[in-house]
Amino acid sequence: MKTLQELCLTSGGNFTPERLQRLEQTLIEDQRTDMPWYLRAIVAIGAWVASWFFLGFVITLIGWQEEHETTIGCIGVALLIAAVMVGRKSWGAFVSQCALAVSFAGQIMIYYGFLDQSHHALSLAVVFSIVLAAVLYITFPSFLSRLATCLLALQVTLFWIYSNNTDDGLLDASWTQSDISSFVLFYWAFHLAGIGFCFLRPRHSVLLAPLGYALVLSLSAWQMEGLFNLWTPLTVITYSPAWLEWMVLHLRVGMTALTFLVISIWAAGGMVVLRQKAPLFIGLTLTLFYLVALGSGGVILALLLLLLGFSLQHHAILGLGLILFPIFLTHYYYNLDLDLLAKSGVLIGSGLVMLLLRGGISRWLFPNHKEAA
Amino acid sequence: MTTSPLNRPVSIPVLRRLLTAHALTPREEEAMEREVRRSLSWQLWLDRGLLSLGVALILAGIGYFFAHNWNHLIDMDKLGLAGGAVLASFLGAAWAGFDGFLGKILLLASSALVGVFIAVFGQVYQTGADSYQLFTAWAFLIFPWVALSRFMPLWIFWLALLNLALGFYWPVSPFLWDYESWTVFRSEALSLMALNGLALVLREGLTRWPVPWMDRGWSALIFVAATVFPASVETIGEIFRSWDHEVTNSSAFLACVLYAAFVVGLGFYYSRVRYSLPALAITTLSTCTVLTFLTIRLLDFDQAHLGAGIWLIAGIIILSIFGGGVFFLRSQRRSHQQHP
Repeated sequence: MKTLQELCLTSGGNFTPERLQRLEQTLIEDQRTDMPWYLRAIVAIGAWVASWFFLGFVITLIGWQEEHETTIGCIGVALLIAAVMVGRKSWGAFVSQCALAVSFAGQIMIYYGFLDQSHHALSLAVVFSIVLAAVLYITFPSFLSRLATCLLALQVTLFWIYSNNTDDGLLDASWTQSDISSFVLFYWAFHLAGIGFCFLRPRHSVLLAPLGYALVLSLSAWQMEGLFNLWTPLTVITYSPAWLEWMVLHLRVGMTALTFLVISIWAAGGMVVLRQKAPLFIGLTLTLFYLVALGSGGVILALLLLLLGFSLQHHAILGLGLILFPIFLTHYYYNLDLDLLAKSGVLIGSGLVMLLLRGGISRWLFPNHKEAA
Repeated sequence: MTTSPLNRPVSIPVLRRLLTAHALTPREEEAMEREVRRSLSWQLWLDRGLLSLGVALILAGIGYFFAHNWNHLIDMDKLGLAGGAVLASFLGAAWAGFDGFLGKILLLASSALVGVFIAVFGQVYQTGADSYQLFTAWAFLIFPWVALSRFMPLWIFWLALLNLALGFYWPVSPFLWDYESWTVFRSEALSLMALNGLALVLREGLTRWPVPWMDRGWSALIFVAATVFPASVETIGEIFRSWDHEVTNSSAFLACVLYAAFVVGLGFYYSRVRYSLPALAITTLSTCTVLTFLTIRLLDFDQAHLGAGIWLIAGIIILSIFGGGVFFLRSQRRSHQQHP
């Protein structure tokens, strides 16, 4: 690993002694204020648990009666405004945590207070969640608040798409099955494009990292939910005729594979490296194409997270990929429509391919490398 | 002497934070990021990932092969194939060398296959052994390889076998005075805490000697979590059990005192003796969780009609608990950054 001093010398920038000193000061300040992800997780857990007690306080105070629902919603709005106002001040970590807890409680009250009586509860929930996420993203500069509200908005929208409840009123009844299938595809593409947009350009990630994390979590949750057929009882999307079903399934996997290819080119150093090592990337493209044809969507998504996490040194994304990879791989092989003997052959064959690939990579891609102890 | 942060290895998230603070221009940051990305250990990750995946897939394939032919095999074939798989992977490990990654992975595979052999043996000869006996025998048989391997994942695998053996032992133990679920739960939690705690102490003790394979930071975190988790669950269980009118509060009180001594000891060790912020974070999270449940118990949430004040007080106390935990962790981090 290189030091910042070494990077300053090799990057070709104009680093005078004064600038280096300023960089050092910024680094010291950064070390003082930065929190590792697990500290943020503890803050989030504390705020989340406390928010339910605050919710209990308000509900007990005004009484749990139906005529008070709108009052609860109004109190939620007031609490949210107060939380944002306090959260914007630099009054220390504890006050920020309190503001986060109150904002969570306020949001729960808003959803409960304004949605329960509505005939269009789900559609309104989508609108509320998107508006709240957008407003809080701008007004409440807390990483955890931004992450939580964006994740909620993404998942509520997903629920709305799959539930496809025309009684809800906001969806036009004339929507056809293929329209909704396209919507599902578009939403998947939106997630993938959003992840790339938020993380690959450093200047975007300055502001959009929480949204990027929310997209990563939402996409992983979506794939996991599919594993348990969570959407099957809700959705009325039948994907008829059969070719459409095949297209929908493979287009989603194909988009994930395409994103994997783009990120691998970016991680390798961009178009210059692509031209230098064209055969390697052609091989990668063919491998991805083969994986898409096999329909191993979850596996490609887990690989995408592994690649993204490793190339950005984001331990949380890398860890998520490491957890998801064996889950999706096991699910894929377990559900192969083959008898046990054929499955055994496929597994042993895949294992041998991996070992051959390893040998090939060691010999041709990294010929000068010696195994670390 | 304190090293200047400029002379410490830098990561991409740090570079991006410097960009956020306008200490670097976007062009400079992108050039540096490319340089850092190029120096990442891509080869090591690909090599080990593909090797582990390849071995795992082949092992799974062997498992499916057995499953398919199970009914057509005579007992000796079953035993021979299971034993042969153990022998083949062990010989493979010896051929590859126990110090290389391939040898270690094959040794891990042969250790896993010993369990298959024991299961087949139990089925063929209808030994009627309890589950805990199977796991104990498994752990006993592979111990020489575990000691030989100098491979932390294999040690963790071995410890997991012992945990399973203990977990299955208590429900059939002749030493329990009754088999109420509470007695079994308490025995399991305490014994698992003692076992994993002993492993943690040994691991921390041995790292004082120059044993590079032992000094893997992540392994200590697994041991800490494996020790802290049963301790917390047992303490929370004792706290909630005191709601039962037939039970005195003394055991809950004793559990809380012992738990407090335990986490203070861990906190002292990982803050003063061998600094580890992630280990402190695990301990702190556990402490905050236990204190949250203690608050719920002390405020007596087991009532039909709770007053609004109780909810508010509980919320504030819980926020204070977690806030205090985060404050402690941040102050530890700051203090060790200033005096590493």
